[in-house]
Amino acid sequence: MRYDFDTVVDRRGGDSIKWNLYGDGLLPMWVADGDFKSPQPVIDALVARSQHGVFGYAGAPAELANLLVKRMKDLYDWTITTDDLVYVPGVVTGFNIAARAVATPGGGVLVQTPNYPPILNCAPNHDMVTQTAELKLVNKNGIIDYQLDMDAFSHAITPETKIFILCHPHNPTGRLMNRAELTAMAQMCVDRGVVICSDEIHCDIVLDGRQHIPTATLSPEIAQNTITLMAPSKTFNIPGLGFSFAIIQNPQLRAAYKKVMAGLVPHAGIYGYVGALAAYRDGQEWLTDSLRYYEGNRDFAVAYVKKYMPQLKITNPESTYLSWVDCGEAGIEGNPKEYFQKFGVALGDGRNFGAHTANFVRITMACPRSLLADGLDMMRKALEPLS
Amino acid sequence: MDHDFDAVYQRIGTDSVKWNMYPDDVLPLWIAEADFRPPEAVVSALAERVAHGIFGYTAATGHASAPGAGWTFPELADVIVSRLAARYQWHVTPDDLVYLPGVVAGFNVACKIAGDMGDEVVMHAPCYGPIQKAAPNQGRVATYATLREGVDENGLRTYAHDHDALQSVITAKSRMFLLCNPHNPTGRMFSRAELADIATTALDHNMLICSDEIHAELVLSDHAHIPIASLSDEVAQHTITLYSPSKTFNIPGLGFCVAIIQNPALRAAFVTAMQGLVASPQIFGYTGALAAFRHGDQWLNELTRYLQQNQQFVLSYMRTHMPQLIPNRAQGTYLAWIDCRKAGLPGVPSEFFLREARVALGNGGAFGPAGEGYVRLTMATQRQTLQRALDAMRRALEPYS
Repeated sequence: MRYDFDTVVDRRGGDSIKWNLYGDGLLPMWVADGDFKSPQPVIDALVARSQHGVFGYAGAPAELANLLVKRMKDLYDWTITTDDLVYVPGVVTGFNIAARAVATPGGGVLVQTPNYPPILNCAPNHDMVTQTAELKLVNKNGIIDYQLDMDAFSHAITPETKIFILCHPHNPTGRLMNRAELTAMAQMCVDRGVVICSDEIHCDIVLDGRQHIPTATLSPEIAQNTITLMAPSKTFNIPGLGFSFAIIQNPQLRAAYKKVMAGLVPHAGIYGYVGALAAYRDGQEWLTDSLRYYEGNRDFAVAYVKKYMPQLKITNPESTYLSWVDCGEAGIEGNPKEYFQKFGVALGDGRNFGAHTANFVRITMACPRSLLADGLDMMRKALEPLS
Repeated sequence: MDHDFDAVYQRIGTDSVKWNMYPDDVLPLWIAEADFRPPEAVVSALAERVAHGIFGYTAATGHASAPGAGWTFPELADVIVSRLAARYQWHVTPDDLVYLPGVVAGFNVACKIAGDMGDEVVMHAPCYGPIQKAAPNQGRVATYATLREGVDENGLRTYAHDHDALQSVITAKSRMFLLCNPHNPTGRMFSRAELADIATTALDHNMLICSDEIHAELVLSDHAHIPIASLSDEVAQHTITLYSPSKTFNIPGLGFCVAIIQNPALRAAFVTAMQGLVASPQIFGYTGALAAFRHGDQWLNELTRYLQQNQQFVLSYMRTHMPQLIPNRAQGTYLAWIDCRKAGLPGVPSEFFLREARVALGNGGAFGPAGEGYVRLTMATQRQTLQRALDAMRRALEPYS
């Protein structure tokens, strides 16, 4: 490891929403935002751009598009062209645009639960109807996992369904759907005239040497039916720079997408482009190191929960730096998130992630291991009076 | 002067849209963007923030004093509120502020909540292209109250808001007046009487007002900028004002704007329409805006003098060497709006100057039919660049004089 992920950088009092939302008293592990410095080449590039000193309207560097095209080829053997790329300031904006591009008010937006709250909020943002297919929760010796339920998926689709917003890799469960699962969902969408928007923001954070499969690579037919969203935000811990991209190979779909953007969605700012280019070009070493660190944090959290908090059931994520924890048998009265907060740790509130999630919390493990240990210690202390 | 506005920055080959749209031998005076380095306090604030090295999510709210909700940049709201009070005697509260990545997104959101699909949004003509497009972008229809064209005692082009033109364009479907004040491209800073006419008409017809005031602080004349929402409490209750440091401090690339919406129901509708689509500004937008508003005013005073001298230079150059062109004298903005219709040029004037003078100007036709035959020239550049551009334009005109 060249990079040091153990050093705690003080983020209190700065511009971090993660560290400011609850004030100084709490250890924040709620939002999916890492506490690590960006790759040094990213910082260097931002410093150099700052020194230039003139901050006019900025275009995207041509090198960035070429780099992304090459990246898709190298990582996924996915052949796209620079024309297929559409830059957006974030993936949340990205899937909201997608919904408006293919559906009108009253149209159906298919989502799986549990899920990332902004995905669940997408349909109501546009007076559309949320259609839900639950993932199947399975429990193996205190480790929880989620499986695709194709019956539920199929039943959730109606003639009104216009778009399926897939979260892949999946937030909050850390599931990395395999080719068979992805194909089953994607082909059904094609067959039933449902466009797919695949939020793949966590595509680079796949653990234990696993391989991410972009939905659009499953078949040419699926590619024509898919809007893919990716970003360096999680990968290189630069969400605050505001850069993401859509890959839309179907020209009609892309035109509809750009039409929704017109006027409402500005291009990325200067620092978004500069940061994205430096990260994708020169950030691989940091990424490799960070994945090893996330695996270590995950293993630490899983072992800790098994040993000290067996009344909790935790995921063993294949991807993302998120832990999804079932507190249903811990004897907590009321909302577990509120309960743990009284003991000093701010976790993600399961209630925001869909139906049947009120007993869950989400832990963001993208922090120095000492902070993760602190957070888990607080949870353990919180549970002691209950056992 | 502390700041050297004559210093030339190499911007060809950088990320600048302005300098890379055309071949390297073309002088770009087309887009409304300056070639100046912003106040040093802005540059150093950005440098300091970059050195921190962690770039996570940020989310400021206007509610600086609300418990637990001062999230990030809690001082920014107070800085903006104080600035509006000091400059315009306009008293708003932090709760009235909504942060956005840019004014274009702002007036598009405003159109999205103005009535229903097919309803009409009224605006002046000529008008900034993205304002015209906002209505159709959001499924509304743009209608135009053409400004009254005139000539002043110095032979310069003038514009005035036209009461009759506005009355004639109002229909039962008119839902919003989308104002640009100071006005792009004509540089008009509308008078209290003109603004009152617009506001009265809008209120009489139960229309909203959205006022793009991005150029509010670029004042070349002795006129005072009057935010339309400051006319009366009643007008304020119907108005969405868009305000930004982008033009003032030359930081459009940082992406920051604030909407001021004093009516809680209107503000709620605006925020709802943003959901999921219009993201919060990013770290550097907030950082740059805060530093500029706090520490940029001396720079702004110096900039204003430099721009006034640039304007004087342009007008006197044109009177002496290109009398067949009729420019305006912008009261605000740093834009020259030049009537080329009597110059006998072949084709579209902006294309002529690009081809023959290697100077890129804004195409008047992009500002609507009322702008055809005009060019827009951005004066916010080093005087030597301005001189080179004018010399080239003059030479290009010689065969036609």
